[in-house]
Amino acid sequence: ELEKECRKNQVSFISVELLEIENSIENEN
Amino acid sequence: MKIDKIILTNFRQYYGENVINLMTTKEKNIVLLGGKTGYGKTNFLLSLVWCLYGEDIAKIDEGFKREIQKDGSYPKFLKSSLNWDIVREGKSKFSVEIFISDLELPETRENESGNNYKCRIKREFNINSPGDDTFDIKIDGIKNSMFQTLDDKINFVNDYLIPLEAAKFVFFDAEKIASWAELSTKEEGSVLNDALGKLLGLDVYEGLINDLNIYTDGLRKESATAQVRQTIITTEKGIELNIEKIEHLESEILINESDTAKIKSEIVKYEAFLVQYSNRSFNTSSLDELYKQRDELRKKEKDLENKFNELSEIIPFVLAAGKLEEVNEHIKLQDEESYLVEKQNELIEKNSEFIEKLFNNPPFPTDGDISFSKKIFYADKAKRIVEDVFGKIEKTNELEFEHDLSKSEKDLIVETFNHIQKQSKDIFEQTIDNFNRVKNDITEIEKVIKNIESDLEDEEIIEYTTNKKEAERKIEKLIEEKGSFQNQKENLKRENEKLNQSLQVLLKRISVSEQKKKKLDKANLYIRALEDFVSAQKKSKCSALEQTTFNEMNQLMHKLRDGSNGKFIAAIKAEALPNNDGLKISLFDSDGNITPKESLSMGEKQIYISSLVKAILSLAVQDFPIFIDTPLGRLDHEHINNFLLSYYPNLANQVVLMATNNEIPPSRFKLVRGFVANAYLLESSKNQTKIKQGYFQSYEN
Repeated sequence: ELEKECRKNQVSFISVELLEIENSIENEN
Repeated sequence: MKIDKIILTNFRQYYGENVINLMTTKEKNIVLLGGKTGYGKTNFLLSLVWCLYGEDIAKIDEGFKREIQKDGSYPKFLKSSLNWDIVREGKSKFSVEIFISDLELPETRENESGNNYKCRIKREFNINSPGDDTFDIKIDGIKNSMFQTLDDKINFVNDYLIPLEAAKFVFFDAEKIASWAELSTKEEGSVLNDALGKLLGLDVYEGLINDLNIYTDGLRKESATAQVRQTIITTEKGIELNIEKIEHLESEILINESDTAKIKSEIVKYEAFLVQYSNRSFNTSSLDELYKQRDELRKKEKDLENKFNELSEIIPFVLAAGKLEEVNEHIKLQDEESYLVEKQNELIEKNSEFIEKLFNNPPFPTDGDISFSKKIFYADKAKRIVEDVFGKIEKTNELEFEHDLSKSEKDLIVETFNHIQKQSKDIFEQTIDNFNRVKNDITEIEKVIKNIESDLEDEEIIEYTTNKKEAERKIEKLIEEKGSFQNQKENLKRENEKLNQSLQVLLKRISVSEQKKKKLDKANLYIRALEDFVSAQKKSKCSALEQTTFNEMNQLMHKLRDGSNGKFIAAIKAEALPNNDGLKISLFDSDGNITPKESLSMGEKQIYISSLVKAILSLAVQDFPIFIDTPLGRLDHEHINNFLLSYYPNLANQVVLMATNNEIPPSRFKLVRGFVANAYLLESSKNQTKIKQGYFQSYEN
């Protein structure tokens, strides 16, 4: 369910699995 | 996780070292602990929660809070928990140890992640060492350096063993939790609030949302001008200060409640003494009240005396009432007769006048006079005609004599007779009864006054009465103080809400650099994803909770299963309350109307709450061992069998039932034996309880 919500909000599921922001932005670039 | 073994040493009535092995298997998940009333079942439950939570016991629920308040305060609870025989032997320590297996831990520098760790926790108190109890946690294969402070240990218990918020679902009295069905929506919400957080594993997600919000606030603060930053710092300090004040008030409220409980128990002692040794059950302030009552009764006595005197004036007439009635009747007949005679005479007189005028007054006939004999003839005829037309008046009574009385004398006799008729003897009797009753009341009240006055001369009674009054005054003051604390707390909370709102407005206005804006946007996406996840999970957990609770109730309750009495519960609805205030659960009948939970019988309430607990545990992200006192509470014979054969064997991997020989006698034990891994019996002699392997052999023992 969390993976589904991450996909919907365009967020890296692995990154949330915090349970990072800079890495996520870099990966997008 | 499972609890393998518990060792109670000198805790309350558990003398010496008492070991109880709680190992269960998949097929045999029940451990049965039998004990008669007063042998220590509830204290066994208390020992476990004390070992896990120490002073925080009071936060579990009202029941455990009362256990602490019974002794007045936590330090006193500790002092009174040392076995009394051990005290005489000069020893001063008691302890409880819990051995845990199948413990799940995440990966740390010290260990791999896994779910089969073993750990031992021990809490000990020495009454000769002032201060707190000692609390120790050892995990097999992990260095003790993991726990450097008491907070570390408390966090470990809450995060990896049994969270304090979940304790009420793990250690409970099945009969008492039935009262949850009577809670208001707000109270029920707060009881079940934890079910949505810790128990269902959503607290980690909510914790991360909170940390992400702190992160975004931090990004904005870094970009703020010096002046705005100063305002933010001031606002945050205000919020922190208020939080400190709220925490202080909460601890003051706890102290207040503990003081109140202590004073209430003192009042009970004073009252017991006064009931036993005092001549009265009043307090001194009621003495004035008694004097007042006595004065009123004396006034009443005087009034009744006057009334009696008035009535006694006509007593001779009352005694002669029969004769007076005769005279009254005679006078009436006499009056009737004289009236008739008068009427008769009047008629005769008028007839004579008529005859006289007919024959002797002009005009006369022209053909000569009427002869005298004819006049006599017509006069007699006229008399008869008058009698025929107007009726002959005849005497109805023949009175032998007549009273020679004037009119005023007759009137007096009639009036006296009427008065006596009205003031009948009932009034006499009533007046005399009232008079006697008032006399008795005066005698009684004078006796009480005399006792009180003699009490007032008894120094010990005076002392206890004064102490009781003083204690009652203190209670009033404490209640007032608690109200004031709660008001202050509410005001501070409201103030913090306002400060938080203004802080958010302030933060939103800060313009940030391009790089920080990217981070903010990204973090907000994380927050939104997590919030959507939590919200969807709450909805799905609610619907699972509805279904599981309803299915379980159907399993357990005959009334629902066989459809008798209509479907008085046809559906269950669970809704998450706003502002994270927990859950609201409603029951509906087959017509879609709400079935009020208070309309359920005590047994039905127990079935409903037991079903709800099972549903919550089935959704929990941890497996907990469950300990239940009074497991069959208010249930009847058939429902007991449902619970023993279907509910408890499927409730959890480890279920410890603490029952009396009345609840689970040997005959019922045979029913459930297939699910029982171990059975123990609490044996007591000379107020010392020991735990023995085995179970009640007969209903008596």
